[in-house]
Amino acid sequence: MTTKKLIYTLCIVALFAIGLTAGLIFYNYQFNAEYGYNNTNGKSNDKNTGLKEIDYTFGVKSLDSKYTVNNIEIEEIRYTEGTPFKEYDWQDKAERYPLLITYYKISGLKDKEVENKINEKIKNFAFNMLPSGEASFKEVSLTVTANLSNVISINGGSTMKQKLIKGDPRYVEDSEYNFAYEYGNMGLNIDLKTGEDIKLEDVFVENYNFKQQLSNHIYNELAWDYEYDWDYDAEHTIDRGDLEDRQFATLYEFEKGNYTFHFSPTSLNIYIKNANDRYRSEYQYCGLLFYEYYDKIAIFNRFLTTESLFEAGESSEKRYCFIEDYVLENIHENKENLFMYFDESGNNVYSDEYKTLYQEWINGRENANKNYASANPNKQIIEIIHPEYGYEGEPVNLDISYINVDRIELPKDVYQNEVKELLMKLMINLYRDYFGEGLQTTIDKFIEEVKQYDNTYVVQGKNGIYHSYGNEYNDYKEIIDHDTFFVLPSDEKLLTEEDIQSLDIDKLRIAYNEIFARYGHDFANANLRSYFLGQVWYAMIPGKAVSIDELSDIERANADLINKRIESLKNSATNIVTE
Amino acid sequence: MNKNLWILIGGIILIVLVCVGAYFGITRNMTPNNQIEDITISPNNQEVDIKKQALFNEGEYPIVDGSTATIPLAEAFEADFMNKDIKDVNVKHSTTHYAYENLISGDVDLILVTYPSDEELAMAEKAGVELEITPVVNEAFVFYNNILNPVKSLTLEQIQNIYTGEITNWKEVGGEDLPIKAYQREPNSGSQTGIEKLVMNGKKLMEAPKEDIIGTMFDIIGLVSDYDNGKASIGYSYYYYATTMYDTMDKEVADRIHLLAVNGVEPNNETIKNGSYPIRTNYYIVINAAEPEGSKARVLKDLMLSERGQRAAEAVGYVGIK
Repeated sequence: MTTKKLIYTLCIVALFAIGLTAGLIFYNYQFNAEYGYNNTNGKSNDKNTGLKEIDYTFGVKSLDSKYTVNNIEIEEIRYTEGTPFKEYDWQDKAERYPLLITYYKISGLKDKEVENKINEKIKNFAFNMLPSGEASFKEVSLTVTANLSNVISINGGSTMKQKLIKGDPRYVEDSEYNFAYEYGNMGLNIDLKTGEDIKLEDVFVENYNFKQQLSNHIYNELAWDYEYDWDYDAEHTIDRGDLEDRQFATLYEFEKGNYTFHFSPTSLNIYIKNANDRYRSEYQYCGLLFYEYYDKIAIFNRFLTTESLFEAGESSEKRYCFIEDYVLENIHENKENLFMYFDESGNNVYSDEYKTLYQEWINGRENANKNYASANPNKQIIEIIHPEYGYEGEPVNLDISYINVDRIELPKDVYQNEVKELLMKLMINLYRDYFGEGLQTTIDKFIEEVKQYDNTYVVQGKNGIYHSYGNEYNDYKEIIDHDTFFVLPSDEKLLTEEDIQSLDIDKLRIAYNEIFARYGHDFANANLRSYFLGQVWYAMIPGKAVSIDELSDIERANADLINKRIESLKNSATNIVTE
Repeated sequence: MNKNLWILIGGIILIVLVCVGAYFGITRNMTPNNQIEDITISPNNQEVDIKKQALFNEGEYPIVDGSTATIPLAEAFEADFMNKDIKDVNVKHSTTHYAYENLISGDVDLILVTYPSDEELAMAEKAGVELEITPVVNEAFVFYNNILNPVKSLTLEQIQNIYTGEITNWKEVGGEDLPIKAYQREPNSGSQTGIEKLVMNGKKLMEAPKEDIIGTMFDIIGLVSDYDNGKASIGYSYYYYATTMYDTMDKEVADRIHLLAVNGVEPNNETIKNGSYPIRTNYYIVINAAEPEGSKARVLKDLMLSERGQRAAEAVGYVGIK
């Protein structure tokens, strides 16, 4: 071999070897990097956990919860496993995934290394919260409860629904409802400058003995629980009573460090591990309001710096909520630079700047909905944005982290005049949990404004709703014409093919069965039973089996029409149940 | 062979070695689990804790249950006997009644509990189980007043009479002419049950006005220690609660509290242990009397009652029995 040939050969081999090595290193980086956001398409293959991430909700990246507060953009990411199914709980007809984790990705920090570190932390936090054990479904969701003064605080909540089996003390023989929900709560708090966790001590001024106050708060929480704990069996009080034992056991766990916390601009929430099996919750909650400790709170100032941490370049000097020399009596004199503060009654008061920001956020969502509607001409969206409601006269909490957004999507040709009633239904369902004693109002009182963009509605909730102590169902009758809560007006008019064309098989099934349900039919099928029991208008007659002869001519004809349609769809569908 | 061919082969080998070295060198730091050994350095190199031997194999520690109040005790035992940091020990107790149930049904080896109630004894008898009940730690019931109050000691009878309402002024017990502010506790708290069962001895507790019923330990200590108004006050609780709170509180507050002597005996670890302090109770180890010699339950019981076990209990604030 000549020298020249030798050199050429060596060069080729060297290039080949370098290329192969680089390729192997790159491959390794892709798949062995811890929870990396390496892929540009928004998906990541998390080899460590074996779980795969899917696209954002509704399939449209720009639409999802993505908002900017205090120079940080917060984007919501959903992570699911398994096929979604409809869950027929008595109130809940939601579509559920067997596994759903909702977490956040932040952006806007100058220091990208810290930003990545924080995002890793948030993702780990959410995934580590996933409860263990077999379950019908498991969910983890995060909420940013504070984003201020260079710190971010996140609350994580987990839910698991488990089928109870014989032998479990909660199991009830011959019951349809042998399932239990388990909940978990944890907090995560991060310094935006370093990406490090914040300690509970950092919330308070130096050398403040928080533990003695905490012991009091724990006692008060337990005393409240004790008052309302239905499971408490008075016969089994141990000799020394339960309350102080639990207080000290909880304090003991706190001392061991078995707790997490998170905070909002106005409150601190601590979750301490519960060492006692008997109690339902894994964690003992303990909360307090900052204004009770106004001269002991340091979190609003502690992490401020003169340099800006944010790409937007704004100074982080601004304090949101408390200022250092906050005193209840002098609040009106110290309003400058306050984003949100308290008036003498301890109510939130928002600066004009904040209100502008809030409106910008609302506008952002409106635009996103408009875009979505354009991209999906066969759908219409109803989105209700409602801040945390108080009783009449109470100021509303406009913290963006407390804004609730509820969306429903409808096929375009759902009767236009039903939209308003559907909104009403949604609002009632939302507030039934808060104001269970009854609602005495009309839809106008719930909703400040309904804006329509082509086939999109955006509804802005009003602040303050009326609270009454009336009977729940009587109130509903006052408000609604109950016939508008049906899939189809199958008892009123003769339906045509066109009317039912766009309904999917599940809707058709409901439409068919509701004809009989109106007469009080007692459903044997568990799913249908659950569904109708959740309908406000349904008045079941136990044991009644409505026959087709009982129906009116119109109803019979409509039933026949719907049934035929179901049959034709059945050929290509599976798991269809009719009665 | 051709010299150049040798050079070629040598060159290829060299290239391959360099690339392999580069690959492993770079990717070593990418694997999620970095195998960096944690080296803990003790803060004071002269004093290194003598590591005790774990007394049970991992995963073989006996199954223990008990009352809520004995959770720290159970953890102290397990941490010591298994040679673990207490932060790594996580015990869950089912509360007294369920602990007895679990022992009787054989689901657990040993329980740390209060003395069995009549109901619990009946339950054992019905199941044909004989309970072996042995005290494991002491507990006491204490009274406290303000450091400025000249009264430092009361007889048990005097205490009872204060709480029946018969004695209403400090001068009746050798103090100043000052009406006694006798705070009581909520019915659900442990301390209220304690005063009824351990102190009153059948005598009826007076009904306290609402403002004198104090919820939390912290509040009652605050009231008794109050610089201006605490002098007339008297409060009570279990010794374990009082000492735990004492450690938690600001020193200046804690220093204004005085634990009253009863029948001339001050409450402290010594007097509680040797029985001279009169208002006492215990926590108990309860096992099935049929446990054979050398069984896990018996081994653990002996350990808990041993010198080592008792020191472990005292380290977390309990009063040992020896």
